[in-house]
Amino acid sequence: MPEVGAGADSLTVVNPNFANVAVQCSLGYAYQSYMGANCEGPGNAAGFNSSIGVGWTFAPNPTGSDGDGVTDPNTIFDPPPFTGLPFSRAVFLQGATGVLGQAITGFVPGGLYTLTFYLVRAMPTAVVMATKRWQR
Amino acid sequence: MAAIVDGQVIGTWALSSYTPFALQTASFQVGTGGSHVLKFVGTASGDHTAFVSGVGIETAASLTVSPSVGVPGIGVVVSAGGFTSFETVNLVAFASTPAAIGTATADASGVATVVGRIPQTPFGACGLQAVGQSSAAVASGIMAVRAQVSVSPNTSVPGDAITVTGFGLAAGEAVISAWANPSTLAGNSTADQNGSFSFQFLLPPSPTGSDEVVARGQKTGALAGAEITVQ
Repeated sequence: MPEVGAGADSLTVVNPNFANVAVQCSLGYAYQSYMGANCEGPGNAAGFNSSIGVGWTFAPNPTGSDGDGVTDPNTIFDPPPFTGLPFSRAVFLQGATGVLGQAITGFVPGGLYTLTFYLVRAMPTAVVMATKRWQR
Repeated sequence: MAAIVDGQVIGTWALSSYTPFALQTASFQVGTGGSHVLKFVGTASGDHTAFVSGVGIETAASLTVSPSVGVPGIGVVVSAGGFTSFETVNLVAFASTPAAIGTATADASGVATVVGRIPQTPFGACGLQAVGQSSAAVASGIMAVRAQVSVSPNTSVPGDAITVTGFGLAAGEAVISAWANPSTLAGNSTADQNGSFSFQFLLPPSPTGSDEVVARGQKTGALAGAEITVQ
């Protein structure tokens, strides 16, 4: 079964750790595809939105700069180590065109909820390299 | 980076330095039950790229529901306290639309045990709320919802028309259903706002005995099957 995050006191988030869908591109990261782009180009893209069990909807980015996608550890983005964390993959969001969404069910009116997630900023030089690759 | 629920920003995080992954939280309240859309949005370009993972939404359940995981249509027993002695307590399920599913009378200590049936509801969770009729006291909780498929008839011969009905997929989700042996596409469907779908297919030439139709939601990956005896 695909990964879902849920419990007696938690709502169901499909694919909370982005583990359900492989990145596929050999570089270990990929932007959400726009107009059929793939690992071969333009950019370095994969069709996450059409992948079984992805749960989330990634905003395709037509502008050729910024955007969203998924990365494994130790990629050109150089994210901090994932060691000891409850996930081994992360989504990246760049600028206002980096948008990720999911419809969550099970809310009750007036209910109080706490959103939890892990967040980090990328190494500046690493992201510049990855962004340039995308803009080719 | 911002987190948004139904278009309302519930938190923003400045990304000014390179640090290890850190757990972040944002509290929020919703005015209506059912489904709401969570979004993460980048707010700065270039070297302010944000990495996000390990997403969860926690709540404090104040009622217990048994079973805690089920399929649409399942019967549940909900228990909650904090009501006035002997008052009427109404149980409401928040699926795609709110539905009153049960009523009970609280005991002398203000505890109510309400029996109800989960309505048609999309994949994920069904919110439950027990409300005291005179005190207006409220207890809330959730039941995790999984997909289910049924077939009719469940005993057939090749060439028969089989009706496949599925529940508990995501609203609007594409569903691909397959006949197991021989491996054949049975049907492509789209779940409605309740996460339900239905279609017919002709049973292909198949070995006699037990076989199965398996449906899979393409967005959630939710998987459910139903057995058919081939004669």
